[in-house]
Amino acid sequence: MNLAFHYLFALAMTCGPLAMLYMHLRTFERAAADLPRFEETRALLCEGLRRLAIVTLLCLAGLMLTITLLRPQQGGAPHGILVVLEMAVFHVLWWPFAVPVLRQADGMVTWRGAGSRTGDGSRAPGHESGGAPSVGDSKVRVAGLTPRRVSDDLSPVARVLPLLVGVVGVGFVGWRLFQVHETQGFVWQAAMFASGGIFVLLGYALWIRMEVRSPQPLVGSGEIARTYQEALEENRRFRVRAIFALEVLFAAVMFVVAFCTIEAAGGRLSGATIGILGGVGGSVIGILGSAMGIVGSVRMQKLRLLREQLSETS
Amino acid sequence: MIQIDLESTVPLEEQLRQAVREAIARGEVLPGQELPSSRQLAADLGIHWNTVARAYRSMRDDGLLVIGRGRGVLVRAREGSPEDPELRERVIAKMRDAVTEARLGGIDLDAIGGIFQRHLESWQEEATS
Repeated sequence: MNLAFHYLFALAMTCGPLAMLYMHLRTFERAAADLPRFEETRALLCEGLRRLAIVTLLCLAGLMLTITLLRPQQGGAPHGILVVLEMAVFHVLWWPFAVPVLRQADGMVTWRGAGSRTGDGSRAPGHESGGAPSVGDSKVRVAGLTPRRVSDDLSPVARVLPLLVGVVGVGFVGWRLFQVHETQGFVWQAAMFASGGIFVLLGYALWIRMEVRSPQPLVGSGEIARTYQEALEENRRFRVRAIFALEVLFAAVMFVVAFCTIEAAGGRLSGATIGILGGVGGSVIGILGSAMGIVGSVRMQKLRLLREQLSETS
Repeated sequence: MIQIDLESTVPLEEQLRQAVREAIARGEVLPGQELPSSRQLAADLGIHWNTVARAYRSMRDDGLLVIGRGRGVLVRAREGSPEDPELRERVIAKMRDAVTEARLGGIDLDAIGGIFQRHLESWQEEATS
């Protein structure tokens, strides 16, 4: 039973990231189909996602091997350690591999360089966004000289409240399940519910990091400038609403599903069910966060195109 | 606002330096004001962040900027006086170089004067707008 739980948990944790990669590609295709060089950027994105899928399956294989070798016993130390390891692999260790690939899609739709150049004008390999090809034709670049912070894009309430909702939600469910499974040991329970919170916080931090690169408002007059300013404000409102929706959705899902499942099971939930709940819940939020990040990036690219049109005509 | 041309023969780092120096000289950014981070400016311009970082570092070495960990990139407060003889000597030397280069290129003195005049007028227009 314990081995089955761990095998099942590891599989459940893998499905989420794999589904996220698929959703990432589909969202990109729908949102960026009208941008220049779509086919070329799509091919590069597919290559990156394919490599990340291989990393994900290798993580799964490593976990399966570890589970088989350790053969954890009920309540034993290896049991708790394995659960922590299973979640750590896909909620912490996987992200450094995933972030560059996921941001590659962001870079492809927001970065418009024709390759990076060094100070002496020679072309240098690579770029922080993964060597994305040019998605525009203008060789003249304009930028404002005003620094931006997250606070420029989100009000303090918009920044703090979603995190608070997510943390309180995870904490409440964790406390509730602690009461039910207090014999399982604190490491096991703490790891189980930290997983959802870690996933949410990491996804949130990633998205905020991408969203900081928002276009600088231009001082200008005329219809194009007004259109640009309105589009910029609308994009900011979209990001705030999306962050709120993401966090509230996570808290709602965790409350309703976990609470109803526990009550329906008479307050005694199997470890496998809890594991699947945590893995699926966290993965769903990761998928949604990734999709929202892509949509936000494409909207920024459209703003950049508008800004270039403004700078060319002013 | 700064502008760079990817197809120019002038290296990007030099274009950045010139653009930021001119922005400071025109008063578009004031002493003590913070500039965008190298990564932010690089993302906005679509160039490598290291190019921006090198430009910032060279301006720090020239005494134009202050780069502090956790404090960002700040425009250094102006020191010295416009009447400083060393400053005037440096300006005169640069003007002499510019005139020499223009004459070697075949531009006559009246045209050189016209170029300077138009440049000064554009600065005055921006200062009063």
